[in-house]
Amino acid sequence: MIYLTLVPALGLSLYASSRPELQKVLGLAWDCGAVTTGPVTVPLVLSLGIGIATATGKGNATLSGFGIVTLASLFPIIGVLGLAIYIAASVPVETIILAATTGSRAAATPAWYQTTPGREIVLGLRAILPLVVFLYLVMKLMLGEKIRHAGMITYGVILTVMGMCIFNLGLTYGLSRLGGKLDTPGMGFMYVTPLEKAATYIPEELLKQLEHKDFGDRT
Amino acid sequence: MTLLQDFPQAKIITCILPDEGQDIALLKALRTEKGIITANTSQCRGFGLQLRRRYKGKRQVAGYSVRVVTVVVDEDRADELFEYIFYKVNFDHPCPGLIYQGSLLAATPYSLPAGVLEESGE
Repeated sequence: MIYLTLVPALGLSLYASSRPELQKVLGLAWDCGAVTTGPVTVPLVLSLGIGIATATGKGNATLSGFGIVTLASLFPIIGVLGLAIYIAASVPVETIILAATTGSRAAATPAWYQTTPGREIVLGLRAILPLVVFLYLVMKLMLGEKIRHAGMITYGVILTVMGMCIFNLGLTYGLSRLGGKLDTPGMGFMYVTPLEKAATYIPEELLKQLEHKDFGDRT
Repeated sequence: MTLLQDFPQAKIITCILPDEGQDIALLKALRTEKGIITANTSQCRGFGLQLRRRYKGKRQVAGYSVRVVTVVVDEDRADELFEYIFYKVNFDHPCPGLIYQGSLLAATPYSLPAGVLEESGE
């Protein structure tokens, strides 16, 4: 399965590298593969893979998780490359540039889902709901099983969505905003004014100590 | 149009203080005792070379919270206020901090509407 996925990934990469307008997307596409190697995603992907492999009853359950992260990493690459090739083939470059220009101008009055906190809530829903729908479809269509404890599962999904939304809001309000103000280069300004006088308290013993000290290494 | 030279000549007094509430006390005192409302306080991170600590075999500079108070004053009152602030924040006693004065090319006049200073709250 991994080799079968690797062939189109490499083939699409070779094709993209031969087209000058697609070469720029190549790095982005391969970087997208790394989204499945995060500390949260890896256990999730592994448990999903092992769970599905066990449920379908094919192969050794302990070995069926092997290579799943690689497999999951290849699909984003194929997806991004496929989308880029499709757009490059169907839409002329001028239209894309024009759309990008008008899009950035139209962003002057963002909709509710583009501003805080609407954006974070939409992001939270987008992170959880597609996965839940996918798992539900796997259970119903592939495995043909009934959903047991539906009430409990719904309660869990609601709590997860709420948690994700609050986590996103915390990131925006707490981390991003505070971090951006404190440590980001370029968030401050400089000015020069002539210094006329300055004063502070310097203890006498420190003055004596400083008189005999070499400051060559501190300049 | 008002030209730059039409604005009054001004000085800027900057005061770096430890974050222990002295800045707020200073702003209040400047407002009530000297009538100065062109003063601001900002929180910054300070690094003192003398405050280096030995940590994991290396001398590390630890960051700590400091307050930077800037006061824009008329040129003719600058020396008086410099001295006032110096004694107000106890720079004549052992304390970490620094006060310095520089000149500004100009500063726009700033005044609050009548009655604002008497309002309750800070």
